[in-house]
Amino acid sequence: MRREIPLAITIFVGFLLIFSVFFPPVEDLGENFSLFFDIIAVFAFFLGGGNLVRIHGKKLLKRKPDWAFSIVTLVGFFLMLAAGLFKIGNPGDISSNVTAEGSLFAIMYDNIFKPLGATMYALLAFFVASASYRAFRAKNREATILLSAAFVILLGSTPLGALLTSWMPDSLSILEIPNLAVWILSSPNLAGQRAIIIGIGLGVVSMSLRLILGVERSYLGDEGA
Amino acid sequence: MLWVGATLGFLMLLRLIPKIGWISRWPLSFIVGCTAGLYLINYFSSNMMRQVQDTIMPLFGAWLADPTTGQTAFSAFPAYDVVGNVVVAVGTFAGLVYFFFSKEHKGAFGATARVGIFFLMITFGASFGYTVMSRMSLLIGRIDFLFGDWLGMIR
Amino acid sequence: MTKHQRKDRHSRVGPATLLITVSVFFTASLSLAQSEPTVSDSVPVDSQAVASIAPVTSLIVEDFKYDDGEKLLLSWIPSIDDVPEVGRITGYEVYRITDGGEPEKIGDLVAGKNSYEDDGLSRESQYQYYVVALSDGGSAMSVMTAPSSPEREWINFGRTNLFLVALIIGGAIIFFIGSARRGKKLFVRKIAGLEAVDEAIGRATEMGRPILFIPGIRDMDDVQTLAALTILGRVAEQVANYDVQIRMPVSRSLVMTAARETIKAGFQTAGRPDAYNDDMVNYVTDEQFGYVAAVDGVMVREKPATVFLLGAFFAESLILAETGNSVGAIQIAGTARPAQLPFFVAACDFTLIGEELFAASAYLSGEPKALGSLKGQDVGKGIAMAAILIGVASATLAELTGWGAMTSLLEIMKGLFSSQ
Repeated sequence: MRREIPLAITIFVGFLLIFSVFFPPVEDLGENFSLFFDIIAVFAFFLGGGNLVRIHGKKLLKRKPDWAFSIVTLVGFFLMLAAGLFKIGNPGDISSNVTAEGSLFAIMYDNIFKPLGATMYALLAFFVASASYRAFRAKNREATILLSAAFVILLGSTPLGALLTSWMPDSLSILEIPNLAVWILSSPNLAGQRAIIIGIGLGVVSMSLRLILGVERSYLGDEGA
Repeated sequence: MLWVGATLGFLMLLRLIPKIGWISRWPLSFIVGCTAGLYLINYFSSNMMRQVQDTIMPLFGAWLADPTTGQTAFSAFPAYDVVGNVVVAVGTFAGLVYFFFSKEHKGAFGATARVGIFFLMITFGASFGYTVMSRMSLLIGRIDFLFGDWLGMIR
Repeated sequence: MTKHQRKDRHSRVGPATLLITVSVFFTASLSLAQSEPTVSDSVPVDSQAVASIAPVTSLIVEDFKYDDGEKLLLSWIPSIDDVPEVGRITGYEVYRITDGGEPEKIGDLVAGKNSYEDDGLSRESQYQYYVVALSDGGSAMSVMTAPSSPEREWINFGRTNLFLVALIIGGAIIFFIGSARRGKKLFVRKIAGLEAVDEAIGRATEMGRPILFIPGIRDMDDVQTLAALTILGRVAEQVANYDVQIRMPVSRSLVMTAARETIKAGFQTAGRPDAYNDDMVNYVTDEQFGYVAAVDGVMVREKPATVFLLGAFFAESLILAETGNSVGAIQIAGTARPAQLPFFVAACDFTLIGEELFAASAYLSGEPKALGSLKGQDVGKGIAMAAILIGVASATLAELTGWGAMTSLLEIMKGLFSSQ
């Protein structure tokens, strides 16, 4: 029974949502179910948040390596939680907006949370450089094609690309690098994108059916408890 | 109806009680059923049907109405568009051949699959180049801010 | 068939109805103008300007087809003074009268518009509409439509084609799952990225380092996360067989719960339920870059031998893949987000491209039922390829030769694959 009931729920809900799109009176069932999902996710956060506190609490108590960082995590977690829950420093009373200007929550969000996120995001600039180096080594035929296409697109977006081929006669204007870049984006790139997207559509259909029919059921855990 | 979501959410918390923790699989299976059902039909419609329909197009020309006279006449596409159309149709077809799982990539089928890989690599290269450019623009914007607005070194 | 699948109803304004409506309207507006000035206030009719610009004509109200009875669709022929170059008409206002009550302005439209969709209506009420054309000097009002109500349709016949094609492809998948279950041998070609999974797990065993499994940054309501979890089930079996450590920091609480169940099931299938422990999976944060920082930290500190990046990834794809690369891990990545695929191709050893991500768990399991589903989705690809071939050929020939048969074939193909 520990597996049969969940499987029955999956089959019922799965087929219900598939068929709902063909019957206007129940067409917005999907939206309702998305709402249910959000509610379940809120409850589930107690499990996630609890797990975070438990792991870092254990690390701190047992003085495991790098335990000091756990203090930072726990202080950050509880401070932000308290700032939001008790509306610390909010200009209005407890009913005011949690992100109201001047509140501790807003101050922490704007001055700690956002810059830290932006810092991680900024790392991308460096990783793009190292990934480009790796991609541009052209170790085999496929990589060479990738490199060539990327090179034309990059060059086509810079003044240098236009300058290099500006001498071409009008009859060959298609071969000017900026035009070639546009053509690559609108033709072969589009073809590849379409093949990938159609494949994804079919892959989703197949995997969803496997899940609904119970062919894939590992997410339901073991047979026992 | 919100009580259904709240009940399922509550069942999720039963994980905290080991003896009846298995009940939390009910909301989990509800979510999996929802996601599978919703995605199945949405992706099928937007990814498969829509893309196939968009690929169905004339290659060489079309009957178009003359804006001044209102009469329709055959108008051949420029060579640039004809090549582009052929490439889109052939590339999409070959790309799909590459994704075939139940047939060995050998002979003519294998050759078509290799053409498919060719198109996929161009797609990856184009996306790569495009994203690198946009990331570089971001970087230039930040450098401009740091050395211009902030430090006043660039005017 | 028009874009909105409209259907004509009795409310189309015929000459007789028009005459009656106009006279009733004028009588009503005259009496209202004397006793109840609110209507003329809400409908800015300037008697001078009425003569100077023409109102919209042929105002039609239709039921929006294939809905639950919540929408009406208005369309009209724009005012003859609505000429872009001249610019006399500055816009249109749409008014609604519910159950004979007060007129209510429901829409402000720019010049050139000739339709309006009124949503959120009730099947129990009667609605009448009129449109006011506006110019700088004044306004001109159209006739009012006859009372009409939205209707509920029980079946969406506009999606018959979607139903048919989905039924054929879904049916093929179910058929091949069934025939594989009955013992029919099915061939599936090798997929390099998946062939490498065993080797990658073996490598972790030899090096005595953990395996890191990242299921993307989306929740359980994303099918890519589900795909990642189905693959995790197969990987977990191998992890238990090889007795190697697995680490799985996640960015969603529900994913944490589902991943624990999945790994537990994998360990049980491998006959080693005792080796499972909940700490293999831990929740970090829902925040995108906070999660990335934590995962990068795990990579740099623990130097995993193998990294799986499978699921929905966004800008963080490259940060994770490059960090994994820098610590010398074998990386197997896969996503259905085309924009992130190039970065995985550049920075990882093996990449599962789109559809391969969804096929992976079936392939890794080697179970006939699961492999049957792959054969079924190939039928879908065959249909897509045939449709592209026939569609492109018929479109090209129809335009070149004008053959009626080709035009009909093209219409059929386009109709069959129209999506809404």
